[in-house]
Amino acid sequence: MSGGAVISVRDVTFSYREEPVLSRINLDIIPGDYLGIIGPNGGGKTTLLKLMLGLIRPTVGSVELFGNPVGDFQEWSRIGYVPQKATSIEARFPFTVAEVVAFGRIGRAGLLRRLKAEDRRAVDTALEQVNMLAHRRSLVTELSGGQQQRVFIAKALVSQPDIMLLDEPTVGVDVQSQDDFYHLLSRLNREEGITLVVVSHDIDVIANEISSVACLNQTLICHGSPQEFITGEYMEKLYGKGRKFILHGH
Amino acid sequence: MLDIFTYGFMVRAFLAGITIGLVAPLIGCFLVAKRYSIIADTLAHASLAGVALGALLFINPLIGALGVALVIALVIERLRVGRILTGDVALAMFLSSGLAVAIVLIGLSKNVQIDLFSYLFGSITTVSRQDLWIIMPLGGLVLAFIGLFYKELAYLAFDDESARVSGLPTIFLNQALVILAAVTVVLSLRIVGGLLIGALMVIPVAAAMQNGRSFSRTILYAVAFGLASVVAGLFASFYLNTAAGGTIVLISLLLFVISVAWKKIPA
Repeated sequence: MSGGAVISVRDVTFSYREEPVLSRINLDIIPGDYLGIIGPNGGGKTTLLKLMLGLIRPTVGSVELFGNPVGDFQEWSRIGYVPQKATSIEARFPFTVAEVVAFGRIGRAGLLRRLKAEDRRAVDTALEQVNMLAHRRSLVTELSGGQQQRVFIAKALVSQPDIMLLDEPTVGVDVQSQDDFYHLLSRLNREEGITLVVVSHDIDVIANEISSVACLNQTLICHGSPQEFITGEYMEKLYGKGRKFILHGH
Repeated sequence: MLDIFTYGFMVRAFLAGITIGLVAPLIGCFLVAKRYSIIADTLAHASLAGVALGALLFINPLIGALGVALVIALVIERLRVGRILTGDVALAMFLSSGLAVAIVLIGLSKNVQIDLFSYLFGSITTVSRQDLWIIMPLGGLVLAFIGLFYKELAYLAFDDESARVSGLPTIFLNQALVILAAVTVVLSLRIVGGLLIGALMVIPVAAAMQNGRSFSRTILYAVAFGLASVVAGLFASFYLNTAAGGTIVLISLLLFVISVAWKKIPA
């Protein structure tokens, strides 16, 4: 284990059909961190997240979760994952909010075990945390983008994870809901001590809240505090010349 | 007692029909939620090749159909997971090749009598006692598996990737789902016929989705619509002398239209 890191990425290279997507990435995520992974589209952010979750395997290098190689990792309830919402759930099956959040308890309950009263209480608690308890019987498809995102957070929260990984969580969510959403994440990080990893192509929206930033465009261009990033020359490296960073006041 | 039940073949048709009326929409729910419902049609066409093979080898055609459908189901799943072919290409390919093999094999087996028409469109008179011994236990097996793994299969249907990250054995569960789909297709072959099985797995589900206010309730509605379609279809087929498979599917279509209309009525 690398200094108690929650996730440790060691010399990871990933190629897809001979084309390198990520090369020689080294990254430690320490407990309590709120890491923003930013970079242009196609820079390998989602790929890195999937490597961290063991959904794909690195071509070279290794990933450890809580000190265990990702391939041997068993305690998946310690990890909450909020996938990219690009696969729109519109026109999908009618799942209720409570049903979706309860999915988050399945890994914890184990195969062939029924969900119990305790699990149902955990579902209500998670929905309360994201202020969606009143919608527990609503269909997920009938909610707004911002509300849906809160439900997916509750689904990740309900297994009481130590770390949550979110992939572009506010795509298609209106600006006010985005702000509320990132406040919620900050609160979970500060008050519940949950380590957070948020992937975003839009630096502006996350720079106010995160404690560290990793810029990714096939290689790890920088990893440090957001202030370092804003004042440094990394923006140019990452997105090309002429892009200015504007920090929204809060 | 209704005179319809004095006929042994009708009693057998109802026993087989109720089994598939339960099982087909149930599996259909998981397939539709995964946007994978077309696999039912592919497996049905492939199973026709199994029917011909069974006849050629002088074994029960349903056993032949089961063997071929299971193999094809696992091959398709393997191609999908390995990204060797995209899902839809693999499905389209096996759909037509299944039928092609069936036709060629039937042509080769000139001495063997196969009522191809009944396997394509279903028939109420063809369910034998031996068929029931295949259909009912296998139907029970499908129900038992879904009962045991209901919440895992539901999670898989909702989001495969998240289910994987939560530690579920998704490869096993996906394989199990296509195997169950293959078994269901074979169970339905006699009554509904290979060309119409897909409809029985999808239309009651589409009808149930119109007014279902949760996943579990949608499944209940789908099964209710499936059972109603099969039972009403068998009665109609008997008294009106129409093809069983077609009648069943038309009734499920009627239920779908009623469901859509019901949804439009303001509460």
